[in-house]
Amino acid sequence: MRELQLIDIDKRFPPNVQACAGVSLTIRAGEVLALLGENGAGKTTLMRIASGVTRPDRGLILRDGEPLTLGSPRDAIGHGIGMVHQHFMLIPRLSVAENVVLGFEGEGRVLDRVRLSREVEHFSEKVGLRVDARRRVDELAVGEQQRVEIVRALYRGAEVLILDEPTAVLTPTETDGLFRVVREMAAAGKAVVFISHKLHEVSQIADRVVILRNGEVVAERPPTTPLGELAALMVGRPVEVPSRSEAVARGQVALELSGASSSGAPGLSEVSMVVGEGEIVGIAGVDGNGQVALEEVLAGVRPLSSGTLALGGSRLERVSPEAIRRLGLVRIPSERHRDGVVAPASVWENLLLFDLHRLGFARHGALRVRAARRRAEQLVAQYGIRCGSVDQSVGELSGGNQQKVVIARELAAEPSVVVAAQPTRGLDVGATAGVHESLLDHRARGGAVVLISADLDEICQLSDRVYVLYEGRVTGTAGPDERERIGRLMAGVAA
Amino acid sequence: MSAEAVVTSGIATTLELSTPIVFGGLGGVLSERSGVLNIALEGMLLIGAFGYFAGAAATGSVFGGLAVAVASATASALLLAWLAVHAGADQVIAGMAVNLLASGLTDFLYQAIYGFAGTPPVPGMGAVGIPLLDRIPVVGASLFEQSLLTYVAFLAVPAVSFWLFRTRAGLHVLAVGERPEAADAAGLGVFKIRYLAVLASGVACGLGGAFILTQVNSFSSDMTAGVGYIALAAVIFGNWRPRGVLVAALLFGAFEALQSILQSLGLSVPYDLFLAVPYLVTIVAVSGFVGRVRAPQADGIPYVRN
Ligand SMILES: Nc1ncnc2c1ncn2[C@@H]1O[C@H](COP(=O)(O)OP(=O)(O)OP(=O)(O)O)[C@@H](O)[C@H]1O
Ligand SMILES: [Mg+2]
Repeated sequence: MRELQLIDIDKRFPPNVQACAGVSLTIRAGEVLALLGENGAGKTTLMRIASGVTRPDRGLILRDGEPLTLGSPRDAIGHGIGMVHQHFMLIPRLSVAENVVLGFEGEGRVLDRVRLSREVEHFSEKVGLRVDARRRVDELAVGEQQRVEIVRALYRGAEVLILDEPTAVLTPTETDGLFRVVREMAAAGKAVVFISHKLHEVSQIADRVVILRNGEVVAERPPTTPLGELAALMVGRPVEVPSRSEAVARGQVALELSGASSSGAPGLSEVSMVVGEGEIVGIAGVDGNGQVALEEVLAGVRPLSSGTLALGGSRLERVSPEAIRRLGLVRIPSERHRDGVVAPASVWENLLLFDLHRLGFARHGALRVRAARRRAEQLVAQYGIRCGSVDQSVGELSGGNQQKVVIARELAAEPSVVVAAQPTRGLDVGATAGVHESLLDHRARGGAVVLISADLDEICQLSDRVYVLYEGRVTGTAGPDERERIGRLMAGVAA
Repeated sequence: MSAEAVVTSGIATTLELSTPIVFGGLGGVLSERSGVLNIALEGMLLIGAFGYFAGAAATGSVFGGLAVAVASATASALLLAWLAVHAGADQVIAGMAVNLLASGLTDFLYQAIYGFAGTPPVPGMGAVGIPLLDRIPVVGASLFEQSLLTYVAFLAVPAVSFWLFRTRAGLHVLAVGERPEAADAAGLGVFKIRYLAVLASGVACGLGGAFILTQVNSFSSDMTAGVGYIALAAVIFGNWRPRGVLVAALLFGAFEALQSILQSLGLSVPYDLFLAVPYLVTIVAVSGFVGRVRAPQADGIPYVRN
């Protein structure tokens, strides 16, 4: 294959989202094409069309000039088009090996699981993305699931490989490994499409950058283009990167964890930390080193097996999510879809989920819908949430806008402590800037923030102080400018 | 009755009563593992029973009866598959529709065909002894003196289990029942697999219905009397696994056998209470051991591509 052409692709989702509006794009063998665009620009939709998952309303797909009919993913697989999906296409209750080989089990009606597992493990080592073939997918952390999703696409072998945000949850080392494989593939004459919101990755791996906005191609640039220019092209205006303004008067201790241990894989062991009013404390660490346990302990969802948690100077005797929320701690959860929003419910319901009573929108068990919707509309305007109306279901919003709903709801509760876990994962540059601004505003008002993030750039950019989490322990503290040292601590090297 | 005779007849009755539950339950497992909720087991069993009656009456042969039983139950499964998979109907409603249709249609056909002529004799399926094994004291005469279909049912359990959990085709069924969009993205034919799985449940119910009929060799209105719902309970109690269905079927069968033995010994027992046992046990299984049983994730959810 020399090239895959998408010509004049239209796709509209009911009732009125035009995800792709006359997009034309050429994917060439031997090159890495980066697709950039805001959340909701239509990148995923376009690539799902190229891989047969979604049918376009209009448009042509040509392979070396021959029209293809992609009626199903099976057709696309037959034409050598493979995809790593942003929302993983994994089957939770099957094993890693079964997921990887599904549909490509090889000869024989009876499965030889031992052989398949061995094969999958060998293969995963060869491509430098280790997976444990025997485990069930629903036992895996999100980073591991991402590796499985990538390994599967590579295992099938593809002429055209589409990678939809494959690096959002990978560690820097894993990302390097993936990039090595991608370069080998391009060198071997395959075509690769790479989607990411991390602009420095794009300039590192791409041969060509195409920018989508509102379902249209707005520009094509070489990868050497300054990142600021790429960001501006995506958003349609210059993006300001908010930065920590110095000198917020440090107040009282807002949150204190001492000798805290918990269950989890890994859980926390003997974690102690102090967070003061008016500061952002960064929790750095490679994914899977106890961040989830910490997040859940702070939110009262996961019990402490030993140690104490104190809020506003008083030690909590009985830890429960309600008690913690009442004492002014809110959480922006890392698993947005599971813990952050009720996807089928409307925007206004999600915005007022926890506070209907407190704000007086519920009386004697009946909702005051009109007043509640008005309040929700205010929040939508204040936080720049893009939605058709407050009655639209949250599940239909783009990732960035779903996250804005969560943040608007949590900050509207006027908390004293905000626990923000991976708050900008999967968000575009504009939405990321918005989230950062909200957190910095909270700090400026004298609030405390615990920022749990696997993104070292984010940690260094926002934090006043940094704790590093490694295998469930705090292995060190650092200032935000000690990047090298934090990196070493994250890798478990004594620094 | 001697104690030995009680044990022998208890075991024999248990196996007899379990057989249609095993057939229906296996049908339910196959269908639901692919993601199609199968409330229609009751109706499909009934159609299978009528099919055997009509087929055996017309051809005068057991195999004619079995063939028509399987064909007609599979045809009703096709209707369910069309409603649930193709038309994307609510699967509870689709299943109930099949049940109501089965009840009405078998009644109507019975009246229309045999109403005046009276019930024709149909060839039944007597007990088949397995040489040597049937001479084992106490259990031999009960375990190895059964209808051919009982052997088929009990041998089908490991066979279906192997097929579902050890073969490529089985893996595809599981994948489709857990997350059809992911199975689709992997290139599996979601619709085809679901159709075939539902049709397979029709075959199982055809055999189960035939067994119910050969117990009495005559057809009567709604003669399955809720066995299909008990099979549905066995599917849930058995955690959507063939072996689990077997355990549930034996348990439910044993309770019913116990009830009839107690009755034959002249002890008065609350019959209705015994009838409720399968459902009570299932409720306990579902609520008591939270997390023990878990339905396939996409069970009952139509797959729509966008
Ligand atoms: N199945 C669907 N039903 C309704 N709307 C949809 C559906 N899939 C996508 N959309 C909408 O289409 C638009 C484009 O979505 P898409 O997922 O392609 O964006 P994206 O560029 O991949 O964004 P992100 O960077 O957040 O992944 C969005 O407005 C989204 O809400
Ligand atoms: Mg996307």
